[in-house]
Amino acid sequence: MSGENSVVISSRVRLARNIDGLPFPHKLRYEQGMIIAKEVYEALAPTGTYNLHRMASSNELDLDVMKEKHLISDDLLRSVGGAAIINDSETVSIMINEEDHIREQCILRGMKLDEAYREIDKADDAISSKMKLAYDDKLGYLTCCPTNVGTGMRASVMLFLPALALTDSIKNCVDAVSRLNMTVRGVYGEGSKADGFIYQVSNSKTLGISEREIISSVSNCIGRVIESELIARDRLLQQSGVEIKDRICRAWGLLTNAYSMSTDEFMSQLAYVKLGASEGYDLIKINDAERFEKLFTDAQPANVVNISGKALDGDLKSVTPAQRDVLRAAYVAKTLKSIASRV
Amino acid sequence: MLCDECKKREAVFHSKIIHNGQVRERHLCAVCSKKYREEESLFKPFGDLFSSLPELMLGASAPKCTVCSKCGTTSDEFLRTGYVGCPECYKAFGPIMLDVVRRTQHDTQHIGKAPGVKIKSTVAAAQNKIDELRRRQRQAIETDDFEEASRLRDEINELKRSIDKGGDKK
Repeated sequence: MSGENSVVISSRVRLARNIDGLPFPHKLRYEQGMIIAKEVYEALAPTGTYNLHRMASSNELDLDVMKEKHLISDDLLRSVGGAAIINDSETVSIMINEEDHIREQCILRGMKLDEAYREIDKADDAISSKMKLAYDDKLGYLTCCPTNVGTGMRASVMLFLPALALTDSIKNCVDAVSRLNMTVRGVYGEGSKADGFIYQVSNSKTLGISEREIISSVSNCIGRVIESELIARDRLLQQSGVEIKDRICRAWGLLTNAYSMSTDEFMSQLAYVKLGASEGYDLIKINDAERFEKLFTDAQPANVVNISGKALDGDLKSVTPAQRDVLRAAYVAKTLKSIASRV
Repeated sequence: MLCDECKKREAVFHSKIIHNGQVRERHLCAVCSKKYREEESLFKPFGDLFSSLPELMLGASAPKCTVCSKCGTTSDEFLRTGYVGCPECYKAFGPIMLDVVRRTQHDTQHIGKAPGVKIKSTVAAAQNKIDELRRRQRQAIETDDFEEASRLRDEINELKRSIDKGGDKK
């Protein structure tokens, strides 16, 4: 993996929409929420293959699997009358009654904000052709929280930034990005060692800026972050080459040999292995980049249990955390050996 | 004591924040406090914006509490939580809302997509584009990028000419 591909993980575009004349979800009656889900589903059905998942009637395991895939949020799980409408390829997910009535999002692998916007714009057209959305000529799309008014759009890119994090340059990077009106946040552990060095950069401003402008400003900003990360990777190699190479090779050893492994340990070790595959490091050869990326999600608690088929009736608790760690270690070792190798 | 946020569960986390000499108490249940912590971004949490909003507002001028006739949400509730109750609240809380929007978004005029038939006439589309270019031109001037500013000026003039031609029905 080299250049942009070794830094950018995925691109996501989210649009916040609400139905005109109805209270926002936190003030909405349960039945009203149920009707919104049905209407949005019916509006989308002619445009593709979508499945409607109501939070109240879905099992815990399925919901956790969706959450780990970033298809639904914690807030949706807690919402009254929450639902998710997800397409077959799991690229488009429409959350109903999260913070807003409708949260439309498209996630694609790699640097693909333009494509993600085009895709979600189509879904948005289908929805707005059937439902009257809350919109004001001055403030644009009206949302539950004024930080989303205007376009209602959040364009974000998930990035793998191990060298910036390890060389303590991430703080400078975050400051620089903040000055460009962008927000950076950790995707998993929020700055903990177990975050897999995965960060998300997104626009903060949603009003007074067009959708196209948001995409180009986020893309420009990402370009600079990628550049800094690649420079930091070179520097890391020059300054502490033996140390970092040893760390990477040990991570490979653990991931391919451990009998039991926690999620935190897995995230941290796989991040090192991924760094080992980047240009200049060349310690690990990845033969199937897509499956390698998917492993980050597949080894999360609910997903690993789901893949193993060991949960009874979708009950996550039928597999203990200790059993889960054993399942994870076995799954990761087997998968990793089949898609990557030590050079 | 009930949670400030959900008003349903018992508050178990209590904090006092002193900001500009004013003491603000916050009582949250386990669920809402967790949610808050999760929402906070790594270094410069976006969520911080709202926890400081009441202070920002008080700093400006103490606003009179108003009630949205459609959903019953009060402007105080909005300032405390950062959430409005329904689309009508935006009108009901008029000046307060505009101030909050201005402070959080640094803008008060939407440009971009509108629902339904996106933009009806090509003239309107071009006008939208001009607004966008003007904004970028102002930005370029602010950052002393005069080359970009003059390029944008030419682009604006070109667009204006095309509008005059297309939309001229005098």
